[in-house]
This record gives sequence, C-alpha cells and structure tokens, in this order.
Amino acid sequence: MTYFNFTKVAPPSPSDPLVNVTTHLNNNWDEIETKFSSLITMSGNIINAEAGQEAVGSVAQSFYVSNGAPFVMRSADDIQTSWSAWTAIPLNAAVVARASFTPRYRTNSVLRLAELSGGVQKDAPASAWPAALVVITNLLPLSIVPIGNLSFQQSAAAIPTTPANGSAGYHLIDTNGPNTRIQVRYAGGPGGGNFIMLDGIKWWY
Amino acid sequence: MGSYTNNFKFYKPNPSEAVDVNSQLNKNLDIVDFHAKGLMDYELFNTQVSRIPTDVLSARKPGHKFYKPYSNSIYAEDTNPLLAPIQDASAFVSPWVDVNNANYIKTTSGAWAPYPSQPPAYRVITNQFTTATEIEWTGRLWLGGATLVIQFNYTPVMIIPPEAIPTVAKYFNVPAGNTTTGYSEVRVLINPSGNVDFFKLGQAVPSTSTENYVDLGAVRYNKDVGP
Repeated sequence: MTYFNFTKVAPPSPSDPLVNVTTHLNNNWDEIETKFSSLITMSGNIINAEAGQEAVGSVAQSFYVSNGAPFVMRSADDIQTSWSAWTAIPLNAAVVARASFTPRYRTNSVLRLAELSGGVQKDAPASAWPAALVVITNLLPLSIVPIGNLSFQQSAAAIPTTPANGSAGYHLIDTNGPNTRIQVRYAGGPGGGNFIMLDGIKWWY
Repeated sequence: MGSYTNNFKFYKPNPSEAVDVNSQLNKNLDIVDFHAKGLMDYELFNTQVSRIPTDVLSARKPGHKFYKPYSNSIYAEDTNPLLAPIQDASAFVSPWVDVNNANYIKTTSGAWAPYPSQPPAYRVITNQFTTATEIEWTGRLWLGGATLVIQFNYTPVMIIPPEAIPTVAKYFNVPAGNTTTGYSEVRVLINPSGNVDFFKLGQAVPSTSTENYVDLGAVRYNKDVGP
C-alpha cells in the first residue's frame, strides 16, 4: 500500500543510536500534517504538482488547475464564459437575411465549437431556391474551419407547397481560400417563405 | 501520554514514554500514504470495490476524495460509503427538467403523449458567471401508437416553461419515423410564446413502424440570441 517512499523506523535494538522524539519523529508528523491537511479539506492545494493537475479550490466546490509550481493554481477553464459574442455572418450576395432572424455565429475557444443562429432567404421576395449549392458566406475566419475541412449538416426550412416532398436545408461548411465557407442546398419543393434556418448547425474546429 | 495531530490523528509520543515502533510510528506513515495516494490520484472508480476503511485512525472523513465527471459536478466520497454529489458552483449543466405531464404536453391538436420510457425533458446549460443560456432537449413524443399523419400542422404540441423559451423562434428538423418505402421528418418550431409546433413532412408513418415517434434529441438552442 505504499505510494510515497517513506523510510520507516525499524523496531529498536540495543545497538540503535538514540532517537530524539521531538526533532526526529514528532516534527515530521507535524510537517506531514501541515502539508497534507489541505488535501482533505474543501480548499486544497497540490504539493509537487504537475501542470494541469486539478484540485478543489478555495472558491466553494470548484476546481483549480495547477500551473506546475507548488501552490500556484489558476481557475479551471470555464466552458460557458468561453463563448464569443454572437457575430453577424457577412453574407454573400447570393442570399439575404430572413427578417428578424439575422444570421449569426459564435465560437467557443475551450470546446473549439462553432455554432450558428438565424436564417437566410435567396432574395428579399423570398424566391424559390435553385437546385444548386448557394454560398451563404465565404468570409468566416479560416481558424474555425471544421475538423477535416468539411461538415455537412441539415437544418429546418420553410414548409413547401407539397409537404410530402419534405423541406430542409443542407449546409456544407468547408474552406475557400483563406476563409471558411458555408454553402446551402435546398431540399424539397418551393413554398411560402422559402427561408432556410441556421439553428442547430454547429461544428468542431 | 503523547498527543494526536488534528486531521490525520498521527500519534506524537511523549519524550518520556516507551513507543511501539510499528503501531505508533510506522502506522502513521501507512496512514498518510493511504490518504495521499487517493487524494493525488484523480479518477473515477467503482464504489463497490473501494470501501472506506473501518480502522478508526485511518478512516476518512466525509468529502475526503473528490471526483469530477464531465458534467463538471463534483462528487465527494462519503463514509456511508456512497458517493455524495456536490454541485460545482460553476457547473454548466442543470438536471433534466421533466415536461412529462399535462401542464406542458397538449392534446388539443392531437393525442400527443410521451413516448414510453423516453419522456421529453430539457436541461439548461449555463453557469453563475454568464447570462448566455442554452437549452438542450431529449426524449420523444408520439400519438399513443397511432399513425403519424402526413402533412399535418400540430399547433401546439407543447407549451414549455419560461426558462426554456427562446427570444426568437427556433426551427429544427428531426426524425419522425419510416415506412417500407420512405422516411419522414418533423419540423419543430419553438415559438417565443412558448408554444412548440410540429409540422409533419414526408410520408405518413404507420402505427406499426418501430420509429413511430418524434425525437427531440437534436433540439438545442441558445435562448438569448436576438433577432
């Protein structure tokens, strides 16, 4: 059951030198008590820590992360506060924003996840979509291109005149030169509204 | 008579007393070794095989050992010896909120009901340091085993609690079952009013289909983003 290399005291024999109880024994217990007590309380620090090792922090019931030096801890990376602000997507001329549903994206630097919101139309009168890929934008930063340089996802769209034909937008996210590009292809029949939403579109980068 | 340290109860012998080396000195080393190993390891383990020792001197106090699963909640080992959950102050995932009752699921536009053993529920993804809130859904709805009729607008299927309502409407396409010749989906519309509407697209799904339900697992949205 050993984990540390403690040197245990051997049972005494007549030839043993004298042991000072206070300086040789009891001071050691006090030192161990002091150094390790923090590990069993809610406010812990790690002795001889390695970078990235976690301990329960002094903030109630949260984790701290060691930077490698003893007692030097930082707060753990918080996932929710790592989201960027929602930023309007610079739209390509082939599409326009659906009114009251501004196309936006945001990214999370810890998760390395990009996420979309809003909706697009082919043009202001909401004309029917062509049977072809349409560029929504090719001006997103290259730093958020999907892993593998390609992500292909479905989203909701306006109800077509013939609902049995279904309706959805199929989004293709990839690179285009120095940028990340989003293209969409409408699947289904034309109908009222002709919008394609971006809700639920997300990818890892 | 000597004394004991406060936390680990190391026995500190009096200089004038005779000391038993194994029971009073080496035992202390075993105690600190035992405690420190568990505290410096970082792991999830099977609570059924790792029991709290019964020895008084080496017994752990409640909360001696902490675990962090992916939810960011902290679990502290207790003396019972079950794991007692402690919610991390900055945890970002709430418990699932059950909407499996008539307050939320409406039968006025069809006999919608929770799919057996997989009731609809949502959870709030946020923490105390931010107001940006995501809502994630799970579970399924069905028409009590009846055929999912094609091209039918169900308004509303659910009326959801205010904390899950988005600022602007959200749209999702989700799976809605298959037939021998085709496949269907439902467009889920979550309105700022709190109404959740279904619009059925594709083929009618017979009651005998093994996928005769609407699965909400793909519905996840940020409720705060504006128009």
